[in-house]
Amino acid sequence: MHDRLGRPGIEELRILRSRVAHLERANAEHQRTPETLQASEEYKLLLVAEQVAHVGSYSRDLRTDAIRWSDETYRILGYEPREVSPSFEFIAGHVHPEDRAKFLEANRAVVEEDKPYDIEYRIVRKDGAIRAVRSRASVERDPAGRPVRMLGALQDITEREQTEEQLRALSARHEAILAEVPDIIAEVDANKVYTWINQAGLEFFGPDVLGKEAAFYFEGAQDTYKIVEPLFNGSPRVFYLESWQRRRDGEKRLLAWWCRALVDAEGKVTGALSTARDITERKKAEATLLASETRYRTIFEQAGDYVLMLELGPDGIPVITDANEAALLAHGYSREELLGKPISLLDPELTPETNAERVRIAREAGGLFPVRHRRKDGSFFDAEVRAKALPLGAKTVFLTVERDITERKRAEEALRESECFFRESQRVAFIGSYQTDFTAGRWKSSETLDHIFGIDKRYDRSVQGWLEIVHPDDREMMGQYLKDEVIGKRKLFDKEYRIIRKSDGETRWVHGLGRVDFDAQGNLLSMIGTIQDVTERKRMEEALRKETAIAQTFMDALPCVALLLKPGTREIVALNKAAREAGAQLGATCFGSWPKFDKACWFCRAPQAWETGTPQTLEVEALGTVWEAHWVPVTKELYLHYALDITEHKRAEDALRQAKEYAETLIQTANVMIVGLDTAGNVTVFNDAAETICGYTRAELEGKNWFEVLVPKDKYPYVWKEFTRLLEGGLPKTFENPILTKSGEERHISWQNSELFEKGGIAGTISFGVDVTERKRAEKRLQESEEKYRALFDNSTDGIVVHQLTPDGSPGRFLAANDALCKMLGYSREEMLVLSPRELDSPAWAQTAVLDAAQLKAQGRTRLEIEMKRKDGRMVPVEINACLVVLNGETAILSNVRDITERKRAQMEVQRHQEELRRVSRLSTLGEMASGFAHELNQPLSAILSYVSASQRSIQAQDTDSERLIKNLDQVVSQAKRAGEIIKRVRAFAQRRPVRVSTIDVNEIVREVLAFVRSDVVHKEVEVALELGEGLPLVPADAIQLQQVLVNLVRNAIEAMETTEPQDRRLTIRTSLAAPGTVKVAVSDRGVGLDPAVLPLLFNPFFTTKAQGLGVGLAISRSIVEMHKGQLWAEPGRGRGCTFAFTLPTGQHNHKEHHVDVPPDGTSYHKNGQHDIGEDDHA
Amino acid sequence: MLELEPTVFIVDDEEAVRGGLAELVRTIKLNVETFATGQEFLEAYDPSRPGCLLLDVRLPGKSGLRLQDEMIARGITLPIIFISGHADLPMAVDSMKKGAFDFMEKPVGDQVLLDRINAALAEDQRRRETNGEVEAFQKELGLLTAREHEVLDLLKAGQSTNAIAEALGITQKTAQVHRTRVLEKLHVDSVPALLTALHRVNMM
Repeated sequence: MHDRLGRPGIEELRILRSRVAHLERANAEHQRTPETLQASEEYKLLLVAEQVAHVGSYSRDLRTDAIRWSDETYRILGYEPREVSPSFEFIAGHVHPEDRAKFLEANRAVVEEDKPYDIEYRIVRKDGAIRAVRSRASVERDPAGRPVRMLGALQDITEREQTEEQLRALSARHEAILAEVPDIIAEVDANKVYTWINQAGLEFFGPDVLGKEAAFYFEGAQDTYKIVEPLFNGSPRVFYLESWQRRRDGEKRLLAWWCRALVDAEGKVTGALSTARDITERKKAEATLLASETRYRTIFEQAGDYVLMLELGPDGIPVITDANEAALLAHGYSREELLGKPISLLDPELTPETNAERVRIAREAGGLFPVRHRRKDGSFFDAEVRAKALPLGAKTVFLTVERDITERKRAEEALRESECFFRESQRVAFIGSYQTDFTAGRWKSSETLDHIFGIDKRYDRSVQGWLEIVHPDDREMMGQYLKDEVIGKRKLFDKEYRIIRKSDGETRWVHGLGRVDFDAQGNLLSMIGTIQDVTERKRMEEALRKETAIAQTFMDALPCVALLLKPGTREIVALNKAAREAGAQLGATCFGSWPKFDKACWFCRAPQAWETGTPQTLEVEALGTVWEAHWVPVTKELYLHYALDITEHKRAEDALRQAKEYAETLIQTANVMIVGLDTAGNVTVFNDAAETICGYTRAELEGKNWFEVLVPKDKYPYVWKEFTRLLEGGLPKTFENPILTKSGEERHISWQNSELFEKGGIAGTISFGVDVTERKRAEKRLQESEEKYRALFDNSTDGIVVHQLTPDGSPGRFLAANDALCKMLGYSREEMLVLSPRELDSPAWAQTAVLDAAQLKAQGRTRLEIEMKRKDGRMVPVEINACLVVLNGETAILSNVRDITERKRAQMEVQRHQEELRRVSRLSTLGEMASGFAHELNQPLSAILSYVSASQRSIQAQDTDSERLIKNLDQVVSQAKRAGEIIKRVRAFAQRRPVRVSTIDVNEIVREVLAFVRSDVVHKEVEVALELGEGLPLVPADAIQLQQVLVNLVRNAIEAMETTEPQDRRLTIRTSLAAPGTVKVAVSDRGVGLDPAVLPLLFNPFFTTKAQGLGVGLAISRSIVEMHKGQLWAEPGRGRGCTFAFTLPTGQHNHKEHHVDVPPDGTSYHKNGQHDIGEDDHA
Repeated sequence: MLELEPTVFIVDDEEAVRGGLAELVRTIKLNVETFATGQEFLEAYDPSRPGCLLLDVRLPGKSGLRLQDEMIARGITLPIIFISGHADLPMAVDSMKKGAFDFMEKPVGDQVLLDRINAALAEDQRRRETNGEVEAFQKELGLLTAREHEVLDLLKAGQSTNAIAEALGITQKTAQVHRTRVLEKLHVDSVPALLTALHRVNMM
């Protein structure tokens, strides 16, 4: 509102300065070109301009010391132009004594030293006024450098200095306002608990206000608390409220609250931001004003006199603007009927002349005049009117107090009729009466008057005597009044004046009414009148006047423009100092009074205030300022209008609101639950996240006890204990507890709690909660799982071990080992974990592991059987299932180690049994083939015999053909060897022997077997066809077992062809490379073929279609082939016969076939050679 | 026919056995020819050549017994000495029934074998002589009437004249007459002589 100062701002100053500079230049020019230009128009203009700008110019001839001034220079110094002849001494004499030295030094310096001349100093004008001036000058010099002339300009900068001073003050004030908002600014949450408050608020309520409910500070009427409820229900957004609050020092103060609902994005009210101002004093002033006003009103309304308010209409006839009840009643009109009507309605006999006379009387000093008024019903009554013109703003209001003198007349009459009654009534009414006989110069007084005057019968009842009674201060005035008005103008004596009561010297107010009678010649005859002691009334009036003054003072004290206005016309009927300063004038319209408002404000709420009878408040932003405008109905005819500059407040409020909204948004949009509780555990803060998680809305939980609603019953004691512990300042401030959501689900929340301090104690807590249910569940699951797995790990009968995976794939350091493994290996767990896995292994593992590492890497798991070394040195056969696992980001090998000692033993037992069975089977075969073998053996034997016999005979016959003899003997040797081989073969077939794997040529085996079954083949007249593949790879196999398989198949084939015609008995043995790394052997016959029904049974032990034999041949053959990792199957032949075929892996294809060497029945093996188990080990 | 030297034929799939036997036979200065299979022997043998056959029972392809059948079918009367690796009685009986000269089990003692070879050779010679008588006898048989053949068959069965008469439904006298004519036509004087003659020509 600095604009209202109407003084130049900085911008104006700047312009002023540039103008001055221009003038100085012009003036200097003018000084150089004297006389000729002085009369020119331009020069005149310059002079005017100087005058306007308060800049004078001067020149001083330094040789002659002659000085010339411009007109304005004279004026600045308080002279009329050319009034004096200036000299340097003259000028110096006008310089303020304190600045004179500075002035002289500057003048000396500019002349003698050519220093710049620009000084500010004070001058004492001709009239004694002190002004600030600024003077700038320069010195002209001749070519020799001697000073010739000094040209200068003189500017009156008093105004500027004052303005600058004011600006400085204003700026300081703004800074002060900015530095500290004096209003209380506070924020409450939806529960009306203080959540933020500014310094002013802290100073008012005390430092512990935050967290307290607003009601805590309410004094008395708590219903105000309910009044603000709509604010929290969403309407209205802004609320004005005045409430009595308890200040920190315990004093009751009235605060004016401007509350603004804080609304979240969904339109939900989350709290309120309020600014409050201590309006106790203002309110007291207002209350006083109101009381005063009420009193006035009461008087006005309740007065027995008929009071009318009038304003002059356009035609000069007063128009009734108000009337009191008595007036309405007396005239029989309603207020509506009367208001706005001319007075002629009541006074039909009124002539313009009479009216003009009455207006004059009213305007001048107020006066009494008799009237004759007509009632609505047409009847007339006599009345006495006292009219007074009251200036109200620009208008004049006429107040008329009309007294029905019909009654008075009647009463007077009655009094006259009864002196006693008159006196009595005078006494009662405290009205004395007198009668003055001017001719005699004496007056008579009634008893009551004597009492009022405090005189006795002896008192000098002369005019002088009366004047002596009159208060000395009023004496002159009263004498004058009596002489001029009453006698001179023959007016009714009607005057209130003070007297000194003679009896006790007390000053009393009396109201005298009297009428002077004149004779026909106009001579003063007598005066009859009454005197009423109106002291009490006067005192009351005085008090009222004082109160009104006080009200005005309060109004003036308002830091803003305040106006008392009439509702319809918006005429200012009272205004405060600020308003006056702002330019508002009494009687003007309000808008005209506001700077820069030249028309009615569009936002004016006066009508609403008027219609509703309730104060209106509106925030308006206009002219760069935010105003908080108030319209407060004061009386029926007046309303108070004031506007507070709340720009700064607003800005602060906005900033606060933004900060608050930001905080609020943060709270509401925070992912974490934010829950505030008071010390009782009632919910004070409850954000969106909390709603989502708890399933309750804020509204549902408002005022509810958190622990009763949300804490599961069984957890209540614990959680409550934690809460109370927290309230006592306990630590830690984080804990977890389950809550019961609305849906009945338990959710686990991890809380970060803080206490809310208030009054040095803890008022509650604010807690930040994270729903850790899933994490908790996961944790629980994890824990359960961990326990489960730990139990599995610890209680597993299998050994479990985890070790690092070294870069070469071999097992590294042990990371974990379970009890079973420790027990298995005879180590304690501590010992285990520091051991190198290699120390536990059989030498095989080192190699195996590297080989298996490839598989581990490729497939993630591998299985191997090795032996591990126990602590006591014994080896334990174990089966290891190893897989790669990632533990804590590190790849490790998890091995399940199973002690297979028993299994091994059992397997060996099985193996032994199987081997035995095979041998029995072989023996059985041998038995069946016995005759064949006999024949086979017979052949060489008979050949031997023949050769030997022949040789003997030759020798006996002296036939000495030695060559032949030797040939025969060679034959004998060869046949003997052959016989031996046959026997050896049979023995081998029958022998109890361990499995012996060697690399074998399958074709060789076929030939051996053919030799073996030769006698059968020959005997059964079977033709044998061999289709032996060439260059077949060798296979790792046990030769005898392989023979056993082939013998079985060949003999089966031969037997199958018994019923076949001899010429068709053809046995084909075919060997081939079936697939890479697989050799196939097929035995085909032309026998009866296979009944498909027996195919499934073919390989069952003890299944046979033959009369002889155990029926285990095929079963054993298959077990042998499978032991060699091969397959044995039967194929029905085309037409007839069938083929039995088996395959054998060569073991040279790739690493996968590596395990070919490991018989599936668990036969142990060595990589680097043969390894015997079986009878030899277990016999 | 007799002007030819007899030969000992040996069929055995095993060379050593063959060789041994051949060496042994040679010690008694007999010709020896050896064959690995029966088929080889059949292809090479001329029935006019005298001798005997040492035949292994078990032979790959065609067994000894099957070779004997083949030889009977071809009317080869060469005496066969079977040599078996092991005593197989039914096989021996069967072969003997079919006219094998002998059946011997390996190993065979040298003297026994050589004796039997000689015997077989003698038998072969005898058979070759008999073969002439038979041809004449069969010519005489062709002269017999149908009734006389009937009577001959009954005589071969050892029937008396009365039984013959009864069997043929003729009188004893008529039967006597037929008997006398048969004996006359076949140039024998008595019934036993008849039977001997018939036996000699292998008609019994």
